[in-house]
Amino acid sequence: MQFRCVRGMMSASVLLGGFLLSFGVEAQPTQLAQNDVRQMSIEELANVAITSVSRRPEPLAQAPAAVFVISAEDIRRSGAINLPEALRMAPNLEVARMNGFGYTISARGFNSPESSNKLLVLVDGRSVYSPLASSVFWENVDVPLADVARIEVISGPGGTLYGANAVNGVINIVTKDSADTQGALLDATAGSADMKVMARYGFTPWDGGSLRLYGQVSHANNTSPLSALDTTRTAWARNQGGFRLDQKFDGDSLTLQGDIFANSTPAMELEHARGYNLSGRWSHDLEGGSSLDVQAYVDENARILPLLAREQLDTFDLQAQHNTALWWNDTFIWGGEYRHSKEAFFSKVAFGFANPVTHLDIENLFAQDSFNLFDNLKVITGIKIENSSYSNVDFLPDLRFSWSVADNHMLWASVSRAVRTPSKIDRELELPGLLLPAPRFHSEKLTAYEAGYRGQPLADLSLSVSLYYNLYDDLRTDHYTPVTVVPIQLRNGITGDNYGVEAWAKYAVTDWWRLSAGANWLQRTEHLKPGRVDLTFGQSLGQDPPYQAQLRSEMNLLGDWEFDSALRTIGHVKARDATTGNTKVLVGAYTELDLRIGWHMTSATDISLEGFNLLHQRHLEANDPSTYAPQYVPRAFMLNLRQSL
Amino acid sequence: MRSSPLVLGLLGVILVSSARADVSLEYAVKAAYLPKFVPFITWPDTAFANPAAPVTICVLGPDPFGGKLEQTVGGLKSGDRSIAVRHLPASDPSASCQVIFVGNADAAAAEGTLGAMKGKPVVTVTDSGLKTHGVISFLIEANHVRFDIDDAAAAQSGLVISSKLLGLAHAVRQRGQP
Repeated sequence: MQFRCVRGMMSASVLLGGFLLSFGVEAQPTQLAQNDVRQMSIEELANVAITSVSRRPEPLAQAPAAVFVISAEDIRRSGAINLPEALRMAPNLEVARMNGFGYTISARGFNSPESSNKLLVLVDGRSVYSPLASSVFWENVDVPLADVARIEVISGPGGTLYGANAVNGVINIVTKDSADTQGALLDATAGSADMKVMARYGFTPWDGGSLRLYGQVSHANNTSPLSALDTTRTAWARNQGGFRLDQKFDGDSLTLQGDIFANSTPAMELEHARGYNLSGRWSHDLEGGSSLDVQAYVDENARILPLLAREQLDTFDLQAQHNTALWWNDTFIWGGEYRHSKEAFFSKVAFGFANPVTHLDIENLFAQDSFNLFDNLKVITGIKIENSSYSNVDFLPDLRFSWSVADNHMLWASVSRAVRTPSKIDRELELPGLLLPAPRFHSEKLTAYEAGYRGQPLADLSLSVSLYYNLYDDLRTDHYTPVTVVPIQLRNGITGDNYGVEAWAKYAVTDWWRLSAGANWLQRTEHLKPGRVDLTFGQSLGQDPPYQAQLRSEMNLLGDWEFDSALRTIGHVKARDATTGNTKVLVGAYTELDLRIGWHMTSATDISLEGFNLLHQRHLEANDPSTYAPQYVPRAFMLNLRQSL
Repeated sequence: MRSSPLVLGLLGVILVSSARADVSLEYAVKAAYLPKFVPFITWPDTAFANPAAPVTICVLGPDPFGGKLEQTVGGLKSGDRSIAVRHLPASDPSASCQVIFVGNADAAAAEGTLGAMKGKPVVTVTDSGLKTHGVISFLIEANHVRFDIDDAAAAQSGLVISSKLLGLAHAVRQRGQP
């Protein structure tokens, strides 16, 4: 930010000698980014962006927050065939596969299709969070994995800079600049349970510009049901294509990208989904080292369930931020976002909406300042003021500290407030006589206290430990009328706290063998507020295992061979049965293993053989019959080819 | 306001005191690259004093890595040899270096060093700000640190560079090319 200004003065000043470049380059990357760099391979080093073009602080570089970054190499070495499978690598996420196409993902609790509404998911700055159900339909979010640069997974409130509903976490999927994906690439996978073919071509249409085009076709097979009476077939067919154009000129960069998709499944009487999106980003350097970023996008998608309903969601979003400094050693970022959605839901069954078409707005203004209080103590203070069609103005402050205790060790702490705004279903779903709409249903609230350590306790070991204590209020309940039970109405009847620990480590055993480990542990106590009842016995609280742990190993053998493995163990999920109220085990604890053997056949060809979920023929990961009939996840084998031309 | 001497002075204080912690990500990446090149390069036996001698990376002139290079190298080995780092104030032909990193600080001295090292089994690595290039030269492209390899110069110096490293380079001047 003041880089240019400072550099100009530097050359005139004798004091500064060899440390010219060291100050002010992009929000002062700390020791920690450098230590992560140390363990990277040559390929990964070539992909490190040394300053962020958007001046948005690189979370890994300095964030006093629980951030886990999944790199492009991590994705390739895991053999993940789609985005949710790649997200399993983040130790601070809960990922549960429900059936052929469905996944439910959350952070710090609340995982189930009904309740995983506290996670903001962005693909290149475009939100894929649905305002209909306050959740993410993962089956309709696909990004060609070979073109993903990295996935940033932040658990905890996203803080001031990320958009609305970043309550328990933010998943930020960033695709590669088209200048980095030149030439032709074929990424094809075929196996016992899934198939995917992606073809991409990148070229330089004119000076300073780069363009890539891609097409992807994929298919996931049916999975076997838990109950003998369940005849749903949950196979999923997906067709998607898109482009990304990047243009760079003096001090400015411009990106235009878009995708179009059409998916279908035999489930729910042949559900179809289709849509497109188009987004543009402009990053402009201003005088004095500050910069301006503007992004706008349009996203239209439709889901058709022939006998049940038809949904059409059209979204327009405009956001801007100005990165500058208020005095000589801080970074000041401020900006705002406006999003307008037209959510149309036409129901063919009894449950529906009195107004099928709703126009929803959500807008916010934010400001954040980060500065050094003492030599080693950095303070980040921010505020976001948010308003939506379904909620009043909310003030969401965020305060973070990071303390560089020693050269390779940092401690951080934070306190922040976040809200989950009501969805259309929360507010307006009704079934005359049975379910009333809930015009007074308001936002769910969170006050989060977090602290953590990040550093290098040994030369080859990097470690991150985060602790959190979340105080929730106004979580959703199904309120029923005494005696008659119906009508039911949604209310904000639960309050409570969660606390837990998330930890991960990377260890370079030798220069050809790397280990990474991760774990999280979650404790929850929620209770009904005085005078409140909940018909579903806490269904909105989700289904979460009390612990998860994983160990990954990557070995480079004999020059051209790779041997990778991933072992994970997930605790059992206990919840109160929505009908009887009795606590029971819904999903047993399980341990699973994935293995991959890769061969770098030529400099342009990589072949790999992958086995997933090898320890059991099939296992259960999620069990919420009120949303989807529970189905097993199978053992699978796949063969993958990546060929560049 | 920004050009006032008071602010300059204050900045100087901040800089000097924070310099210990703040080597830019760019130089951390370069420091990470250097020891990783070593396993891909074969030196003639004459380049080493004895079979147990370490592969020595010499940094000429002021240290742009702020001590990061020693930290990155610590404990790494290439085959049977360990990797060591030395700092030399000026080109010193008697020092046993297998890799010499030439920084941006003094372009004229850099040219002299590269001239002196021609034909010697030393991998000269030039920083991204220099116009003259060594066997390996860093460059910044589209916000990333990349490297070019002059395999022809390597051949003249009796060095063999693995095709795997050549494949990872941004641009390669092949052996046998003028």
